[in-house]
Amino acid sequence: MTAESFIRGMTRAAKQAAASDVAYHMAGIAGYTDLHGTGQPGSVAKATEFSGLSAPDPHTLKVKLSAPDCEFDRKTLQPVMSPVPKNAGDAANKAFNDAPVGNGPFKLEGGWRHDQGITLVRNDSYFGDKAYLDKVELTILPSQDAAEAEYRGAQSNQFDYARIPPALIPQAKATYEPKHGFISKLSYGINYLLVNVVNPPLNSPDARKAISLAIDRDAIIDGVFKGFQTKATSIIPPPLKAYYQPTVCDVCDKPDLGRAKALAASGGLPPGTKVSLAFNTGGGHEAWVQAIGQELEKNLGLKVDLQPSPFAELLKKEKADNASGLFRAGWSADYPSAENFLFPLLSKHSLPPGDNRGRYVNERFDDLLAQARKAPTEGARANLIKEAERQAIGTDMALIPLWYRSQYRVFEASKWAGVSLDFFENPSLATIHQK
Amino acid sequence: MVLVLFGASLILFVALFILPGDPIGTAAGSERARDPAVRAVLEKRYALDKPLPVQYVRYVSRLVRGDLGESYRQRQPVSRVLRGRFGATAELALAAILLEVIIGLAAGIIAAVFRYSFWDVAVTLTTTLAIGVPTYVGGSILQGIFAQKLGWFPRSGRAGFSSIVLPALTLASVDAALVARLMRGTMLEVLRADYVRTAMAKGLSKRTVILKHVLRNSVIPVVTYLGIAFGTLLGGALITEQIFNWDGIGLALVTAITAQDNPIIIAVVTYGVAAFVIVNLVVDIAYAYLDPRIRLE
Repeated sequence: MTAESFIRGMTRAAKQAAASDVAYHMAGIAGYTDLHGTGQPGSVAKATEFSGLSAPDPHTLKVKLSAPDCEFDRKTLQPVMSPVPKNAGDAANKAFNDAPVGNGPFKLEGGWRHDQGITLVRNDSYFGDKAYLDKVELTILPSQDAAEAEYRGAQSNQFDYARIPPALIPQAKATYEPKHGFISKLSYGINYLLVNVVNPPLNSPDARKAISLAIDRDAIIDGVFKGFQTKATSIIPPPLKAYYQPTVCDVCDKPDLGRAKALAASGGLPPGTKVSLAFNTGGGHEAWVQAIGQELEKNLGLKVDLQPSPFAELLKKEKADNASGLFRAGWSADYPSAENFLFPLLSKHSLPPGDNRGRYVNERFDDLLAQARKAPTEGARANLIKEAERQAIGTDMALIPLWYRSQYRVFEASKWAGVSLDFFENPSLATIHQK
Repeated sequence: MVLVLFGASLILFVALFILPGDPIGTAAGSERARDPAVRAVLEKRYALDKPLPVQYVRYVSRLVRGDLGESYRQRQPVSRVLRGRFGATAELALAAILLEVIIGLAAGIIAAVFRYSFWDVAVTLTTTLAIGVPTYVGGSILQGIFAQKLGWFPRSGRAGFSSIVLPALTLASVDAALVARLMRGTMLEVLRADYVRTAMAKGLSKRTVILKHVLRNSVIPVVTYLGIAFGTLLGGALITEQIFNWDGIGLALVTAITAQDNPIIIAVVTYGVAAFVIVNLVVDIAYAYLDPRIRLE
């Protein structure tokens, strides 16, 4: 493996014909658009080489960025920047895609057995700390009902590690925590209400703050989630310690009906106003969305129009020019980065077709983010990012945080130790060892 | 038969085209809107930028070469996505048909032979219940009792003989009940027929008469029914596979519908229609065997 292996892998994934959904992680590297295309009608990719990547010698990979980005090192965490061997061919090469070779702590044995599973064996020539396990069997379950099947499989000792269907989390905790086999972790994600800030009735910060103050997050977490969620009072979540501001959203903490009503009056949200609350079906969101709808009706006298639809339809509604009101939304960071919560969701550069579907645009906010990208030190960057969050959330309430993303898992603690969740919410296979 | 298949695929194509939605608007398994460059490539690759008639001609010309296209979601050839799943559904359907025949015939015969007895009433009651309760409810109840509470069978999934019992029973329940009723009705009719009375008058035992004369003649309508019921069986497989997480084409179809994965939807339905046509052909042939009058000279 040489620096060329990385160039090969990154070029392979970024090429237009690869149509890769994860290629955008490399968008900051010079020459990306020439290779990947822009999607504009009639535009074609101009290059077949990644002009920003070069290898002066086999042990040095030189990356030229199209704009300063002091978080680029974190983006390299993405598997899309993995090296590939010479025989990988292009992205359509099924033979390699079914039996890929990388540089991780494990190797694939026997290729990808579609719809059945994969077998991993330890890579003894791994450059880092070697894994303890000789072999890992991963079973692929039909996506329908998979969490349930995993959890039942764990209970019957078919699996040593499993996710938990939401309804069974309390039971799983009661069963597995005494045996030290219960994992509970806040991950790099946030659940929130996306708000259309352009069209009435929620086009003023006061109106949005009134909505936030009228929602009793604690009551919903206790009632609907049986306590297995953590109230969000910021959009940058706690695991990003240097950036986390627990009080940035002062209207997210406790409901305050007096203040909510006053803000609703000044924000053009009088009782009787019709507010739509759209959400996607099939994700288990019905109960809490209904609870929020009821609270808004009861506390602010609004007429809440619940709009369930399939996920693709929800996205379409959010993107429509005449979109208005509230939309259920969630976001998981691509890398452990605070900016990755602000830029994609709230920057003017991310307006549709990007993910800023609430269409929040604020010059000061965009300016702060741009400065943060160029900040010379981590401390300076953190200050700028925090200031940007205070602007977008504290002052403008551009979206309404609800709860942070929590993850729960069970594992067979009588046999295994060293089990934790990595950034991608996968088990840390390389650190797991026998008890 | 070929005409039927083309007709089915055309109707589906138009229907899927008219439906609202955006099959490649979101990245698989993500809340993220798709990168416009990726979107443009995929729309071109799947010819979604072309008008419907062009898309259809492209589809059919590939179909005759045995190419079903590529799944939008998994970016794998449809044939590969569905390969193992046909076997799974066929396994389930065969087990269900077997159960239908065994349970249905046995119950029907008992009810007819011992007419108005306790057993007859019991069969009538059970079949009414089986026909009346929707598959989804019935299956969930079976799952709740025999898998969750008693733990006799696996709750879901496909692994070994014990895992097929509950899904097959669920799938077979309605048709088994209908078969039992049909069998009872036709058998009672045949029992009253002149040739049966003649056979009895000749002094043959009741047992011989039933086995030699009655059964064969009563079973013909049941065979016809099983052929037609194959269609409902496929429909029932959708629900059953969902309840028991049985990884067949029914589950693949449900997943494809929620994901708007049109190539999979079209392929599964076209195959379903083909299977239906073939099964009915087999039924026609079976007639000739059972009833010499319709045998070809």
